[in-house]
Amino acid sequence: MSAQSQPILVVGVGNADRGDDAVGIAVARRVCASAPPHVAVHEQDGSGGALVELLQSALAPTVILIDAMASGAPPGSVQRFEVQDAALPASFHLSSSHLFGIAEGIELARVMGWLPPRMIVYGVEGADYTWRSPLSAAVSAAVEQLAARVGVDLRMLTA
Amino acid sequence: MKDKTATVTRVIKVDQLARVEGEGALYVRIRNDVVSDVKFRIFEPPRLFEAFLRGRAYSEAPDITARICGICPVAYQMSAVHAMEHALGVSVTGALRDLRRLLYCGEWIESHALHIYMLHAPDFLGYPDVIQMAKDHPETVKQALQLKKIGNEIVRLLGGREIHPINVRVGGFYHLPALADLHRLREQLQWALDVALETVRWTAALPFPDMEYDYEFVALHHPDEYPLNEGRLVSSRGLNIAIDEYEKHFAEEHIAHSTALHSDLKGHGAYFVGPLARYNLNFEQLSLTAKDAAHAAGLPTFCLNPFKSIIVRAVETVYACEHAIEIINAYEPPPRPAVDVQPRAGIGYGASEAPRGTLYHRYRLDDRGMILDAKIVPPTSQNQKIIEDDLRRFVSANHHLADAELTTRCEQVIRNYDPCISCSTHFLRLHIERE
Repeated sequence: MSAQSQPILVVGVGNADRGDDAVGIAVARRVCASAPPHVAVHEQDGSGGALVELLQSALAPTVILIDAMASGAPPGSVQRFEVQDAALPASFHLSSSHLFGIAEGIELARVMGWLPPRMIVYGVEGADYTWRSPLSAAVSAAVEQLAARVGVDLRMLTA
Repeated sequence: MKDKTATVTRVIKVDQLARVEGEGALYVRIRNDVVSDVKFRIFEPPRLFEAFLRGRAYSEAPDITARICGICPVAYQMSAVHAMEHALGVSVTGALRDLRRLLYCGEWIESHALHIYMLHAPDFLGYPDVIQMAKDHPETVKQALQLKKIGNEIVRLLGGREIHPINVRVGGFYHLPALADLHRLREQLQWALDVALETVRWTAALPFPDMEYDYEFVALHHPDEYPLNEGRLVSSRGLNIAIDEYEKHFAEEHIAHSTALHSDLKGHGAYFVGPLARYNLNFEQLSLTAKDAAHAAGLPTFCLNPFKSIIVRAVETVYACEHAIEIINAYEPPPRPAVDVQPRAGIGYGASEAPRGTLYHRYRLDDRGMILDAKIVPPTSQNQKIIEDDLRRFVSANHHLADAELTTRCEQVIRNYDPCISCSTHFLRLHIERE
């Protein structure tokens, strides 16, 4: 089913081959495995341009996005942001090596009027972004918990 | 001679230019208002890719090399297939050749739209980024995103997906596009052509620094078409060679301050590749519409101002949209998606015009078609010396500017070349050292 007809969009962001940068993808895949039919799950590589395109075309009233972040918090800790109210903190930019990353994509979508009425961003604190390395133990442990939390969000949002 | 205690050293320093393609840095030292040092460093992974390719089959080169760049994977695929077909004695003609040009047009449209509007225009208009620009110019940014999306659509249709396409093979394609999909694309391209023409007018009205230099421009040249996939390599100072002569005329050298190799045109020195070079060496091969747009915008047929590369990208976008429509109009599906290819021992050379300049590939194959060694010279690598020269000239002429303004202008100078690290240059940080 295309994103156009889906009321809720879940977007996992990251690079599956770059250590803890893969956490967004890992959580999205867990969510996808048990997602109800009205939920569309997308994976993205962290390009803000691609996110803007998705938000512009999806027209989903609710979006949940999961990405790695580097704020200095303990590895594996999760932060939740409601970006329809405020921009992501500057620390969120550090997890992307692109200038035009997720935080910038969200701000461009806001300026263009394409931000959904509700957009939740989960940031998972990463520990190791080494190429070809697996998720660190702390982040790996957070994947199941966050997938369950997103599942709760989905149930509440559609209740 | 100035008193030593009065010596003032300003250092413009970019600590991290992290990107998909690797990492880079910029360092400019100004001592007593004289530029004493410029280092533009790029750390690119193609050298690793050259090693990855050894021992792999000829048929794998398009997919492996597409992974070098997320912005211009088509260029890597095109240079790879042309080099392999040269080695294997294969010629791809007719509709298959046209489809390759159509795919390349898609990459030019998406890459140029991204660079013109999202990365370069904010420099000219005084915005720190496109987000701030979008607050004042929302319709312009909306059009730019739509234009880029149409380029992406071409790559998705012909390449199988937008990033790192998977439908290109030595000899042609794995699957041919459906006619109905091509016709839908044509409708979008008609709109894109109008926007591209508007983009030429829009970019021509931007404020341009008065900076010209007598560069040696290098690009592919084909007598009958604006260069994308094929041609001889020519320069504005008389070079005119076949692609297989590239390494006789161009040398790469290791520079102590960078792990990326610098390129020289032997006996000439630094040279300039990219849209401005293509345009200056191939104006006659542009379509009438593109030529008229350039004339109406006041762009000379031979332009020496690197800042005006933003107008040239717009002119090339006009060409790419119009050419894409022409290809779709003339398209008749070929009997098969690819011609037969038989492995054999040999050496193959290929060059094509990536959005940001000439991309050279060379492969040596054994009798089973396995790659014995590979050489890849990307455009950004070739432009490193010219970028350093431009920074030196620009800072020398503008050292009176305040540090913040000078840093912004240095970023703009770098972005004239649309290097693959272009977006990372926003991370420029300026440090002042006073001795």
